[in-house]
Amino acid sequence: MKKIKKFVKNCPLAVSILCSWAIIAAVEHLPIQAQETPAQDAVRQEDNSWVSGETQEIIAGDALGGVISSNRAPDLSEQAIMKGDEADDVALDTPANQSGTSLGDGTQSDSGVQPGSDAQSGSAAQSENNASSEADTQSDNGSDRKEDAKPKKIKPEYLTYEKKKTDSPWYTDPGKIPLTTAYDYQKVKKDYFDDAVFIGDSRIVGMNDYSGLTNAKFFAKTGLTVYNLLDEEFVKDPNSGKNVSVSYMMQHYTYGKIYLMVGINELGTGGTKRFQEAYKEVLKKFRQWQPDAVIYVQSIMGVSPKKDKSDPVFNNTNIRDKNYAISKLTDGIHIFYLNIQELYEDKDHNLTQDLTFDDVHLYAQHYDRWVKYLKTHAVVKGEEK
Amino acid sequence: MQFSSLEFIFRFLPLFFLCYFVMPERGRNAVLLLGSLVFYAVGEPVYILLMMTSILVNYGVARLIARQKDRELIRWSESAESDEDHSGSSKIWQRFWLIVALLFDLSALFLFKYFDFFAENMNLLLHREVMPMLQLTLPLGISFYTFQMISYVADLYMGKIESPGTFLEFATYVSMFPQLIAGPIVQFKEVSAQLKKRALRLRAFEQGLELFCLGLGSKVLLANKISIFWNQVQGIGFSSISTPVAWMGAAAFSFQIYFDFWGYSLMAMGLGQMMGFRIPRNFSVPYMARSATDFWRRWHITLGRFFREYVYIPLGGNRKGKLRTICNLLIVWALTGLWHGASWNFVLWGIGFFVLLVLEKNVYGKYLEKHPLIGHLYMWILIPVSWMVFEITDFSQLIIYLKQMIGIHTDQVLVSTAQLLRYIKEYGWLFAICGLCTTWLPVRLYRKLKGNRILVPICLVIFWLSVYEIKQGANNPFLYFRF
Repeated sequence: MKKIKKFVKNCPLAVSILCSWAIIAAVEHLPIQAQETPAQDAVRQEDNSWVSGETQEIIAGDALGGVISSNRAPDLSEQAIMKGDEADDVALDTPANQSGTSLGDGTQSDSGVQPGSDAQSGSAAQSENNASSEADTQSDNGSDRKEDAKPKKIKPEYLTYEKKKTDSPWYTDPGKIPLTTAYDYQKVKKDYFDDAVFIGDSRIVGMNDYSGLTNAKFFAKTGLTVYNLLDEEFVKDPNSGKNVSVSYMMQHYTYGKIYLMVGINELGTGGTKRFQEAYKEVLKKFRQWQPDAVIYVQSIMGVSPKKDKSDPVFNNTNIRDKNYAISKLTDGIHIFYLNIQELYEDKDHNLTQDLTFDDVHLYAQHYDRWVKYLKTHAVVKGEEK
Repeated sequence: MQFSSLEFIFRFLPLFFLCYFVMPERGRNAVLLLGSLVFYAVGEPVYILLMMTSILVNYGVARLIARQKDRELIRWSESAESDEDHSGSSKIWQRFWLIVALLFDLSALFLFKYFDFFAENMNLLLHREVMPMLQLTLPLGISFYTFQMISYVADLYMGKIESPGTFLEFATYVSMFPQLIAGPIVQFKEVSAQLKKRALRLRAFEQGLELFCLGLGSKVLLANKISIFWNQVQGIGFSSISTPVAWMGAAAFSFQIYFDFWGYSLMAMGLGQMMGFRIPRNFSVPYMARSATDFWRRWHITLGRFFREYVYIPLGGNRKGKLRTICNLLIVWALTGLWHGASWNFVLWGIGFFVLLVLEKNVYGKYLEKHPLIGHLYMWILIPVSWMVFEITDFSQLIIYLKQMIGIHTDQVLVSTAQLLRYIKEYGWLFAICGLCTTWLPVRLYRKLKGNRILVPICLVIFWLSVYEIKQGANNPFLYFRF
């Protein structure tokens, strides 16, 4: 007792650290949870998010009106709920969902999703169906039906290679690399980008910083994912000066071209299926808000061979799987796939090691190449020609 | 296990200190040794055997030297009576054992740290593959503990240590976890008394903890934060940056390396003090030095001391004429450079300092002493430049960077005023805080407040802020590395 008294008297810092630790540990279990080294933690954390992501999907699938905590969940839950209830307000979603549910039972999904729980397989099949019937969906609704009826869909062609086995339950090696949509592209000047908007993650941030495309708009943010792309308020509204979301901008301004590149940050959150669904949702919204815009889905740029070899999550197989998934969402009418990857890849389709410092991002000087590519791969609509 | 990991702070440390204090004084060395081995084994489960072998070999040799010393002493007293001189053979044996120890220590260091560098250069020189690359990973802390063991055997040989101590004392001295991985390079004679007997004082424990918190803050809140900027500059690519951005990057790295290393040394000192050891100071406000000579009296003090005592002076120091002095300095600085890493840029970095030191000694050193302001300016230009030579291992990249610093741009500058303003807005405050913390201010403030109760809340806040940051970094690997 005397000893403790002496300790308290002489070591106030030690005592206060111990006390505050006890309090914090009791309240939050803070230091107790975190015991792994950062590297292990990273994987562990991703595992967790996957697990929680999956459970969320299940919740979203079967618990009608269940409480969804994640920030991207509302879209999904909305869909799921609509599956059971009557869908009402979103004009675009209605036919898609109806056809999704009706076909969902019969359509076999080609990407190997095993029917687990009913809700899961139902939503998976539905999404698969939606993915392939994207253009049909578009043609089903309102304003641009007449235009859509004429042009033929152009699906991207694929470069095939030998599939490798993957350990991950969240992605498989697609064995295919989608190529830029074959189309009669025009060569354009810088002013083509006057009404263009680039939306994406840090790679697009880099483009904004170093490409010199000062006339285009950039809604880019490091760490942006397809899940938070629409709702996160990070874009400065030129009129009000306030930070608003991409959805807001899309609903209040008109853009001629939309360039998208997201997907690398999501590699560790959710499987390819979920990613594709969310991406499709984004495209659908863009089509709804900007019916006249040309949408370019840019391939998720790969990582360097060094990272590819060492990272169980951020590797090029995973990226190719995602690219394959999003390439299927393009139609060659409104939505085009651009294989940006081919500008920077080495013979094994990795990001060339010499072009990057951190194995993920290009050196500033190499954005130039990308802009040149975009200038020679421009879709010019009839009246502009 | 890093000091700045939650595992260390919330698992290892409390458990260790609990065992340490519960143990009666006799057993504390054993607890410390065991704790240190656990600490090391977590990071190096295999190479711990190498360290243990080194400890055994060096201690064995030390005992042999000590035995020869004893014999010498006995013979000396005998020969005083019989007029015969037998001490010669004993001296030879001592020298022999010293060489055995040095050969063992240095060849281990060479094998693990320098072999591939050597092989690569031999192959390059001879234009064919004469030596294979071993691709060994560097055992944790080998550069530090090897030097400690060398200093121990050499001190014993030179008679600076009277007795080799017990095996437990020596093993504890080498493996003591506060200084095992990144120094300071403690000498045996500094801690030998404390290894035998150290009183546990609560006040010392408390002050040690304060130092640990401050060191942790330096590492986590300053070094880690400002490293983001340097990473960003590296990510942009050196050929696209403007001159001010280049200088900002170099300054950021200078702050990063200082607060990282200083923080680590403070934590080591603090931990030592908590157990009753006095671990020597490693830094003394180096960035306020007024000349390169002065800088090296303040930066990584224990390393400079090692090279002075065990290389420079044994080579003859400055007592054998000017030419020999310069030669000795060249050797010392080339080795100092090489010690930091097996790459030519480190050698260049070391030799750069050699040139500066010689120039200061013979040409303009006196001038700098008389004009403190010019001395400061000279160092504030020199320090970032020297750290760039240190940091950028690729020569072509290094030349590009130095050119950008001077203002010779060969490629198009893509990162210029607009980005610079953004960086200043984003990182300006951090640069300012780092700048302030490199001055005398924090040291003087700490001395003034020492023993004052106000340090308690300050340290507490720094501690929890650091823990919060570590936690953020550990759980969100993309906080610093999001795409």
